[in-house]
Amino acid sequence: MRLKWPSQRLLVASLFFFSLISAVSPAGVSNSFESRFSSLRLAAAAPLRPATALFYRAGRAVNRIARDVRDFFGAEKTSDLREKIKLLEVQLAKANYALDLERDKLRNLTETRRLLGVEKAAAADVIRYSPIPAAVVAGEPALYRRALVINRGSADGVSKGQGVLWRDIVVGRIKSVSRGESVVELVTDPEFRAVARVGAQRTEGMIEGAYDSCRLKYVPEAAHVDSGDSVVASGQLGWFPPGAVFGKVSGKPAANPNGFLDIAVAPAIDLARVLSVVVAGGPAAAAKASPE
Amino acid sequence: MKLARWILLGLLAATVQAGFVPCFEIAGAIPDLALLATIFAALFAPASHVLPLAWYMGTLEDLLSSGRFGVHGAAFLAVAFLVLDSRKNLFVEHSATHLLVTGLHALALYMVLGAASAARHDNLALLQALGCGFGAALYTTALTFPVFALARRITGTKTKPKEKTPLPAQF
Repeated sequence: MRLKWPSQRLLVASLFFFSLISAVSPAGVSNSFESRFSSLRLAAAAPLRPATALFYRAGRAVNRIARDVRDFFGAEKTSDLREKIKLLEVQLAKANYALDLERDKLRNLTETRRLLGVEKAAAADVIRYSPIPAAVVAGEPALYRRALVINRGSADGVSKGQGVLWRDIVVGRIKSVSRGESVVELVTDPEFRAVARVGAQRTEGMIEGAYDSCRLKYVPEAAHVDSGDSVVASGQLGWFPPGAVFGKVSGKPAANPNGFLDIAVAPAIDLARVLSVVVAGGPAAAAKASPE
Repeated sequence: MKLARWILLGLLAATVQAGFVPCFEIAGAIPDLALLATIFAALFAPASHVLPLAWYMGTLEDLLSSGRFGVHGAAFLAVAFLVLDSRKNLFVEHSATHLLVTGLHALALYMVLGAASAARHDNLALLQALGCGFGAALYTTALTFPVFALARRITGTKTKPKEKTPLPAQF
């Protein structure tokens, strides 16, 4: 080590402790500070975004070419079919959910007032979930996290917490916003949490990211959940449109000692490989639309 | 001028890491080009530049990542410190040295980060995190030669010619 004492060693030690303290400082000390710091971080990285966007597009193109080459040589003829099956399964899950809703409405036909309430809520949802289309400009460079960066920010009406979709599938939630960009925390990120419904009974639970898949927690042991059941957004809290698909139950759910089921959920699509998404509005957009 | 080339290497590694690398994930593992650039700098950059460069490369990765700010800055600085400290005892031109140094440091770094992530997130199992870290260390090590070759071109680092051992006088 040929560092000149004290200036260089002092500089290096300061840099190290600055990084270390930032890394280990407890989260959620101050929401406003965290929000400002994330915006500042995004703004500082903004000059690099055109380059990352270019590399992201190139990466996707190379991926596609590699897949086409594999298909050409017959190594993976079934990949497109698998993708179609997944999309059809998602459509089926959506249709099943809509069917369940219609059944509920029919059951409650006599309760005219309640039906009117539902219709009003549906009309409000149109305003609440006014979509903002966005393109993905970067992926997550670090291990153990799952995120995407999109080219829409607070200037376009995006705010923290809003749901992000690809067609009818939940991709994630806005984690931090700067003026022109936002970070999307994917549903597989270990810090992702949302209320979801599962099975024909639409039992509610909490879906959490588990890095390469998701887990549905706090579903009572008595609930009927089978492998292949679709897991959809409940619409509670308003971050995601009700019925938007998180994925499907993979494997047989097992009961844990706390009286709940441990349910593994496979995401409906390869979330890290989407090129464009839609920010689905949410309570902030609804508040703007109807100030009362 | 030479320092500008090292700064360019850091920028390029960070942007490729954020844009290109996530498209080539294998079973949850991605390589870390910024870590490779840091190890390259620790092996070949002037000693006085190594640690600030390592912090700069880690901080660039922190800026582009969605995780806690400072994790990579501190981690890369620690890795560069260890490599720099052992540099005088290493034959830095040998390919096996590159592989060994990259492999060992990547593995150690990902094991620590994996354990820390598993401790922080109760829905990320320790074995899953360590397995993923092991995969990422292997993936990163596998890219040592191409990345080092490219880094040599960008920074203009020349391979030192082998020193000719003088023959004994009687010959």
